[in-house]
Amino acid sequence: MGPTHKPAPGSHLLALADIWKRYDATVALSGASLEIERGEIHALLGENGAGKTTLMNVLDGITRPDSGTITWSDTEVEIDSPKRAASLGIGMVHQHDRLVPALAVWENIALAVGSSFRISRNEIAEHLTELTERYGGVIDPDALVSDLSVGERQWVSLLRALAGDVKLLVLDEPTSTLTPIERDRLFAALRHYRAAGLSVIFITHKLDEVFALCDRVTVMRGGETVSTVDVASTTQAQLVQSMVGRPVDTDFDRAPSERGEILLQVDSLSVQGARQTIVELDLEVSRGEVVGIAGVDGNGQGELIEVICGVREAAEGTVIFGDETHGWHHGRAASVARIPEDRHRHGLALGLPLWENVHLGRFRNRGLVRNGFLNRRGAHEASEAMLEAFDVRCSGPDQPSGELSGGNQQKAVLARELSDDPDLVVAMNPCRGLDIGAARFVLDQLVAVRDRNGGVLFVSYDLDEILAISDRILVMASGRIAGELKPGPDVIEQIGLLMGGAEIGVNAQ
Amino acid sequence: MSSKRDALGLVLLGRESFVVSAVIILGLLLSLVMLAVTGADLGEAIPALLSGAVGDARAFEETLHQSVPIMFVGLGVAIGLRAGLFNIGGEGQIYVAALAGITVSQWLPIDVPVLAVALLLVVGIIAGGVWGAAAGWMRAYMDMNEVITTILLNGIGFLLASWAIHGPLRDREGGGFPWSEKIGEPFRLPVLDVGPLTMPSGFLLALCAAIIVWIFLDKTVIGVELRTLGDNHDAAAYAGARVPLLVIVAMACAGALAGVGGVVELSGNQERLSDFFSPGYGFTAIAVALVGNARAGGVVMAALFFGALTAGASSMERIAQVPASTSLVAQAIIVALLVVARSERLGRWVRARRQLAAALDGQVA
Repeated sequence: MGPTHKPAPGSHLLALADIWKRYDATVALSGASLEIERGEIHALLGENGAGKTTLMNVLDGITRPDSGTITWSDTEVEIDSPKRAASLGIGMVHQHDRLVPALAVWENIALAVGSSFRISRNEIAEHLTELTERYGGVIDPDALVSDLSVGERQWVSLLRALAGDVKLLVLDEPTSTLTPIERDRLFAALRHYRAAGLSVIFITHKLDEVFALCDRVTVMRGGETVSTVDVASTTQAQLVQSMVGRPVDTDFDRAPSERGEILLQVDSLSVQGARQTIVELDLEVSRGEVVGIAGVDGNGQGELIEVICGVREAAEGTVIFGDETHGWHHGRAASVARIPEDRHRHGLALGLPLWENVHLGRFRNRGLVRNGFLNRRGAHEASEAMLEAFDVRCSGPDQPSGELSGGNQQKAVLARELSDDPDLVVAMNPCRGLDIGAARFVLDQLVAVRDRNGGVLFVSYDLDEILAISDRILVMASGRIAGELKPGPDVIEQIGLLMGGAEIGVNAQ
Repeated sequence: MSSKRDALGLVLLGRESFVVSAVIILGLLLSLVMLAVTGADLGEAIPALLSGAVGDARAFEETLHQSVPIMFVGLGVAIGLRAGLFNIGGEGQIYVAALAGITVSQWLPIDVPVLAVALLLVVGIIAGGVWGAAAGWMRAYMDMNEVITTILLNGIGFLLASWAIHGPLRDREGGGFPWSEKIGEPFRLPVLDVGPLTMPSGFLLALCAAIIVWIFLDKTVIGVELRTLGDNHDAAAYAGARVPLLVIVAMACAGALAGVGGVVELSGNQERLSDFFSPGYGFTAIAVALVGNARAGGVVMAALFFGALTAGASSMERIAQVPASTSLVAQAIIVALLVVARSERLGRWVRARRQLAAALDGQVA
């Protein structure tokens, strides 16, 4: 099934050219291109939602692109299934391992490589021993996968990918669950692999790993591959810039404001998150300020916001709103607005009409309830006014929120959250996936909250947004506040250093 | 499409109703084909089916009798579905409620019929509600899948009732049958005369329950919160809904409705508890809720349809020697077809065809 002719020396092993993929309303990949040389470790860098995983799913045959070409060893190929990808010599290690927990290690490997009807435990175990001799690690072939630690499972996934005749290894954020020692072992194995003339695509959003391991780096943003450079000839600041930069109209009229009383106080908060652990984090938001939290995606911002919004439990520490301490299952405090990162998952009930969505969780506070019964007409009328005030383009309050465009959905979330003049707004990436106009509208609304003496906690992966509206900037890295900065002309350099540097433990304050 | 019509479940006017009607007709046709292939005389079977379902006053009453329990339980399943929960526990909820009902009727032999029936209904609500809430509690606080727990609770509920009628509640004059004594006269729900027809009063109660369910889901805050939960669990949590409480409420409501179904069946139809008290009402009710699109009005119509099918099938068995279980096969075919008709993939395919057609129209114009 593989390519039959010998490639010309020096040609690419793999070239993805002008790959497009659209889902109903969103564009996941817009003309992404990627070229992989033989014997290189190539980093694919970008924030969540930049299209890294989609692009790799195209390569693995899980996702069919709408258009574009894939060239493998100078032969144009169609990859229509993971099986086809494997037959070409592409080995995938997914972010969340796809091992079968109920089976033994050798059985999992047999599933990947055993093509014949009969499988032999001893052959597989022998093969496994060869692999561990070459790449390190000790794995008992008879151990059940469900008994292994997360790091060991990751290692088994890697060995499984290497067990076949693999020419290109793709690792999707492999280090997110590894300890530092396991990470070093992985890096050593990959260098060894590269030395044999084989290639690696290393997907990450951690800058230090790019510099520690990779030869070249391709940055993805918004479904496009924005640049490919040699790692040796770039800097962290440049990479940060191309990762998160987006032209935003940064010209905001902000009235000077005084910091007033404290609205939100987070005291030595520790959280065990899926992707990042937060350790003893302190934070304050006062009246009259926008506190921006900058940082590369996955450094604990999501976990922090979830705890503040009451949907994740903290291991230790307190979250105090005004002068009240809240437990984790506190209901909705009327004066706290929450704008979640993912409007489809957390913001809206897509199957329900807009008029219900703009009052979700707030019917009681808005006096739309008598004796447990809804005042439907009142709710309807109020929703019409709210939808108009926030410029939600829709056919009317009866339209299901799932039928709106992303920008209008986000405006509907804002309408719900901001219509009660909240004291405190907690917003997580509220402009994600929005066009410039809609993003500007969202940021204007946040500034308006501050200008009427409210407080805003604003998390964004986009530095320009942070710089545009923040009064104070906190940089988050590895679950900690790495530093606090005031916005200014040369602050972007410092932020870049804190974002990347803190991850290797140099600039942590 | 107006949301009001959708909520009322007067689906005969909407697109959903078109799908359901088409599916039912196709399902019945397929069942007839199956009957013909197995050598049944359709010329005899079809009239027998119709006369058994709606042929005369007795047939009509039998249809209503068959509809009442699956209507109650189906309404409960519908509440669960709207909240994103799958109540497979109707069977157990029916049995524990009927068991509680017959027990209480023997402890407190009230003589005033209205009071007696009211007491019976309350007991049914509580017993079924507790049985449902137990599964809800396990889901809310221990993350145990309600499909599994309700199925397990079915076994417990049925065996409790079975133990009671083989033991302490056994009718000593029952000729050795393992069943309870008949429930006391004041506890029985009468059959009403309506013009030339007769109607079990349980049917009126079921209609009332349907209206209450409709109001509850559509007009109350808890109803909106339940529907939000069903549409998007995470959004409900983010919007500040007390998700664990809502899960328990939804399952308690589902259980309570099934419980009422159990005591109404006890007092309005069978009058005594036995091992064969429920011939799978709890499972038929799932089909009823699915066909009724989890809307109160839809459930009423689906329950009437399935009730008529059951009543007709037993007459078909008597007259045309066609096994009554044919009606179960028809039910199964209808549900299977409906699942296909509502599947995401088919929906996408239809939308894509429409877009293509529209695009082609645009080119021509």
